[in-house]
Amino acid sequence: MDRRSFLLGCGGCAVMPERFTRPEAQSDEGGLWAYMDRDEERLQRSPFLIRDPALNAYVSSIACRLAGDHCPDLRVYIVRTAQFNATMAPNGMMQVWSGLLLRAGNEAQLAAIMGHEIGHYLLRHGVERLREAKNRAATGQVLSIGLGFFQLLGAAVSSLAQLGLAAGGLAYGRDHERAADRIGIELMARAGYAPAEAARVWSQLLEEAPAEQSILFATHPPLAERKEVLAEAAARLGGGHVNAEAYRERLAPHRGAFLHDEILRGHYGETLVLLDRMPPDGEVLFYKGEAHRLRGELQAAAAAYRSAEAYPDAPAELFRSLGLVQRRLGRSPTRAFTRYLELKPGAPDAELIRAYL
Amino acid sequence: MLRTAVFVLLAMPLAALAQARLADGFAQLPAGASIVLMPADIELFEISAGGVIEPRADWTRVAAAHIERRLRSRSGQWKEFPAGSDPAVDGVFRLHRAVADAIIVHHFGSLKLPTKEGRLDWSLGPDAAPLAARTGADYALFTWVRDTYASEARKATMVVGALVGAALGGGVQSAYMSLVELKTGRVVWFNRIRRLSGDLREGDAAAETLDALLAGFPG
Amino acid sequence: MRLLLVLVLLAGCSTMERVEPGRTTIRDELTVTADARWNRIEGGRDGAEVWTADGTALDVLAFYVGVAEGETLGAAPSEFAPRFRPTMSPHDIVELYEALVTQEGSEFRLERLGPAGFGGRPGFVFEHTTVMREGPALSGIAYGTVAGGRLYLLSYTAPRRYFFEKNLDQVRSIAASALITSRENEASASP
Repeated sequence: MDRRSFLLGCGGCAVMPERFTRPEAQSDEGGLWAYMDRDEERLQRSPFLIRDPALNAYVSSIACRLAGDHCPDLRVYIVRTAQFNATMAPNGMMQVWSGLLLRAGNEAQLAAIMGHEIGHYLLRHGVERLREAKNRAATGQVLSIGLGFFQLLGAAVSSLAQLGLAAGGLAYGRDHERAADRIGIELMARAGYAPAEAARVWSQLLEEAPAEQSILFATHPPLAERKEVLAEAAARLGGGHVNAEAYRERLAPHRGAFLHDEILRGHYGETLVLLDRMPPDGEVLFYKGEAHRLRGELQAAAAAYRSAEAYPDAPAELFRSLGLVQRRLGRSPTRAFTRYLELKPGAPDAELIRAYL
Repeated sequence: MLRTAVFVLLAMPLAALAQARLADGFAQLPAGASIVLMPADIELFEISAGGVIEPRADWTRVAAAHIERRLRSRSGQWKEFPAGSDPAVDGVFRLHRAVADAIIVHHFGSLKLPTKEGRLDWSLGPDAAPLAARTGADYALFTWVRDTYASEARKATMVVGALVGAALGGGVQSAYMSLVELKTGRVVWFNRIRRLSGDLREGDAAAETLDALLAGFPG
Repeated sequence: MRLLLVLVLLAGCSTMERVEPGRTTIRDELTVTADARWNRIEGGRDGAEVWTADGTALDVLAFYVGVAEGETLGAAPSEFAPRFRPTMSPHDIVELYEALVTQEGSEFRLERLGPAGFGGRPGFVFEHTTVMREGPALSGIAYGTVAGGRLYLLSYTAPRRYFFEKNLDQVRSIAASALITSRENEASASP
């Protein structure tokens, strides 16, 4: 099937390629595919794989809806990593990182990113990338990071990133990204999602992190262009749902852990922008407090913890953090620490908290 | 991450291999001892003309088959590694990799630990027990191979490179084998090769490589 | 932590030396008593003093001696790594440590945090489990104190169970024997 005609598909009339068959072992694609199979086996045993059946069923069902006939070839893995990312390998393995799940405001936004990745898969960008790299390398151009050093030593490399290949997250190149955007939004619309959400995900990301700081933006088309293209497509395709409620419910049991990971990144300003976007509740306000506290903004932290107290879902750690801040502000932490120990008598730091009291 | 370091360290010039491959007091596998052949961790790659390293599925499969055939042809009671996932056994794999890294860096490599006094003295201790339970074997043999081969186009580039005085890597063979006594967790035999020649893909070259890898195997 | 050690080894100019059993002074300020099992990295970069019994891919005993305001634990931090402040509480120091560990993508879980003497003054002890992306799960124990506005921390990590337990008694003993000997430490910040 002509890839180009799929790529330039007029809204709604693009035709999906046929399902892919396993390439021959001695081909470059075959090598890549088998390598990804082994990577997938390793991923299946990773302690950072999120195995919760409910969340997996939910995310997989979205992928399935987007991929249509290709659904049986996809396997979706949810990985605990704080960065915003989703990847898809030529063998059908998709990864969705927890940093992405945290930042998608609703199901449609998640679908937008997953649709984009499925676009790369349908267009076989992974293998193209490898071939491109080989051609460019032969003409002496600079290779991706990691390869140069090991090349000189002639050492064998085994990690995907060092191979400079797609699923590790290195750049596809802007043309590929544009194409994946176009396909992604088509898939979204066909699956019944509001295509306007696609541009929104990228705007949100830009609000969090200025373009210069994010690798994502260096390797993707300029945001203005991207938003324009996506907005045009959205206007053309129209309608669709976002499923914010269902999304929030599915995410809820995991969100605390993901927010904890987010705080650990140390980019407190970005975290606060993200938290401001979320409807306030005990957990959100607690983490706002944490971000302020870790930036040394003790008054703001105390205020956030206080607001969090009003909510039923406020985590016990809120009282521990409040107590610590009060100590630093020269106020009495007794009430807060006592409350913490009441709620969590077996807390890991109970010994030390008792010593403070 | 440490894995990457191992590669770099292995690239540094090495003294002649005089290090013990056997643990103190261990000379030979006892008669009738059973050995489980652990699923080998093998990746073979091709280096293209410009130096892009890409995986080769067909070579990797062939190499794995060679290794298994060669091992099974040796005397000894070889046990199959049972299928199905087991987190406890995964833990043993991970631990063994770390132990192997330590042996490569600190026993065969140039960062020797003075307290070891040149002895091969490493053990997984009771942490090897899940493997014994799962397989019923007395010993476990681990294999790890990373091998790159220069394509023809690459070889041509290397000749040009040599003429202009640039050093271009042409392929490196790094591999180890490790025999663990499951009752005690002790690594009783360990061998590693790291060289610029060798070929696990076919015929006499594969046999020669396997000979090198199995040098001193106490069975 | 382990990533930083990799960088040390990669520097190529380091060697392993035996630690003489008995009383030893580390970085001129911290003296400890240890037995004969330890090797230390010689010629490493500025930063932690690192000891190991079976190799740094397995057990790591690190000493952070006199970390000053604005510094991070160990060398080569990212610009987002939190920095030590003399007013830090033990909770803050655990967070400092956690941030370092998680920079490498590992997961850190605090198991215990309590008051303890260290270096001859009031301090704290914490125990943790760390799961790395690659490699075995680790257990860890650390002792610390802030004296004269500077941080003194002893951290031991090793694959949990066998390797961790192998040296745990000796690590506790080393920690109990530790003495901060520099002159400036008149005002010790209690937790």
